[in-house]
Amino acid sequence: MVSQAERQAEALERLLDMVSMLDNMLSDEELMKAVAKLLITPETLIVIDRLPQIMQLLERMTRPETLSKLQALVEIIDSLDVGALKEATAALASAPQVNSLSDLVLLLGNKETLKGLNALLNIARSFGSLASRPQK
Amino acid sequence: MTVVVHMTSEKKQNVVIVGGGAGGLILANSLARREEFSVTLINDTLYHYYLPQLLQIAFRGDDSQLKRELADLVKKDVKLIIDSVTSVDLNNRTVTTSSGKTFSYDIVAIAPGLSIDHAAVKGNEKLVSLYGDFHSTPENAWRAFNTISSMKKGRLVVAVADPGHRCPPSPYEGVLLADEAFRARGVRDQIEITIAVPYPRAYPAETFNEVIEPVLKERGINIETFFTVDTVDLDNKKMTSLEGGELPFDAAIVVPIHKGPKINILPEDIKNEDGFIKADKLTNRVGNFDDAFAIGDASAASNARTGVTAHLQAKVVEKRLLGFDARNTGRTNCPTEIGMELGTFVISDFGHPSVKLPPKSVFFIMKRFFADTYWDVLKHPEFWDPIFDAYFENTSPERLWKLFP
Repeated sequence: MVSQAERQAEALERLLDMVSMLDNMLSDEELMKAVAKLLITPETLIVIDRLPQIMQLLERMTRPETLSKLQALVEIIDSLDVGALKEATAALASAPQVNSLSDLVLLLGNKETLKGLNALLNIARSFGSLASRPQK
Repeated sequence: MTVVVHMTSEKKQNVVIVGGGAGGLILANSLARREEFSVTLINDTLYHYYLPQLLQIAFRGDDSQLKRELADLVKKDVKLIIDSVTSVDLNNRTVTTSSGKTFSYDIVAIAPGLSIDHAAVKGNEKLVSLYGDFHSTPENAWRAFNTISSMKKGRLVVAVADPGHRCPPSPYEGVLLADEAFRARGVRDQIEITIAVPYPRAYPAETFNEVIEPVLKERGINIETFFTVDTVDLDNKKMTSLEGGELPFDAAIVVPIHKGPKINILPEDIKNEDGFIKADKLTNRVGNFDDAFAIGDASAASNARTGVTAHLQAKVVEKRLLGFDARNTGRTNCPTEIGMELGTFVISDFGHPSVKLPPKSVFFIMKRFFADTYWDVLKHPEFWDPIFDAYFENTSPERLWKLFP
């Protein structure tokens, strides 16, 4: 039977071997050079330069009230009527080119356009209701 | 006086492993943690050598990962014996060493590696003593480093004498790293590099040739095909081939002829004409002996003479000893460095030719990563087994061929 002391000695040995392996990697100049080249690109330098702003943005985005609003937004998106959305998209896609005010008046009187606008209005109302929701 | 060491025990199976290379060590450390085995590992030197480091010595002057003491690499339950094995008698189940000890066994795994025969190519002994090589010893790898780091002009030839050499991509890595070294010293324009091979194309496997040949051409390296080195004439600085060709050189490195291990194995017909041990390519079983296995470079059945092949064979032997019907898949996984911090892999198996993996910096990083984790893999195979299982499954030639058709 393996004693506790033996188990501890084995665990310590394993830890030392892991440290030795890590040391191999960190002292491997060729590896470090290649990894650095892969990671340090003009894009990553821009990110590093903007890190303070990014941190601020992350802090704002992860506030409880923001997360609660995001959650509500997800719920609304979940509850959206896909059929109505498709209709609205189809109506707007089929809308003719508007070149003058009289064209616009004619277009707004079109039955399909009215259906599309109505659907969009409902979606806008749903988003608008987010602002008036009580905080969770 | 002959000392007989009795290794038998009522409960445990006595496993004697000949050779502490990658295959032998992984098998020893894998079996040592299981109660049903008593493991003895016999090696002729105090050290385990990481042979791919010879390339790093020859072209970078870096020997940092060359060797470690075997005593630091075996688990405490492995009985480590430093002695030269002179013979293995498969009929009488004994292993004899040069110090006169005889070990009896229940199971023997023969993994002593191979031997290098410089003299098999006429003139190569003198050549290697002058310019070195990167397939034999650290001393010769340092000679090659002196050649590469002091060459200022002329023609460098790297020629393959033995198609069955260790580490199939190594000659290509050699010329590409030489190209990189010469560029770094600003002498590349004054040096012509040629790789001479016995094959009809630069790389023997046609599919991988589609990867490596464009790289060689892009770096301005000449490819001499159908050139199997026959003789080296150092006085006139030229080599001739079996095919009747002739190549002049100012400095040259020949990938030497490889032979089987210098161990007497009985019955004598268990070795082939080059001294490699006849073993089953799927199970590693030696001849008809259920209790004998050959692993790694010493085996005539190894489809590639690489550490990964030995590693996978060792795992198959371990599983078979545990009662599973494990078999080799022939999987190769040769990390190939091509200079300029780029790399690729030669990945194939018995059912699939080498995948056409394009050179990428991430493959170079993976090669270095494999090298840096090497010692830990040897000592703690049980930790790495699930990682490698996942790696090999997700990089199977079948999958990669779909990604890189």
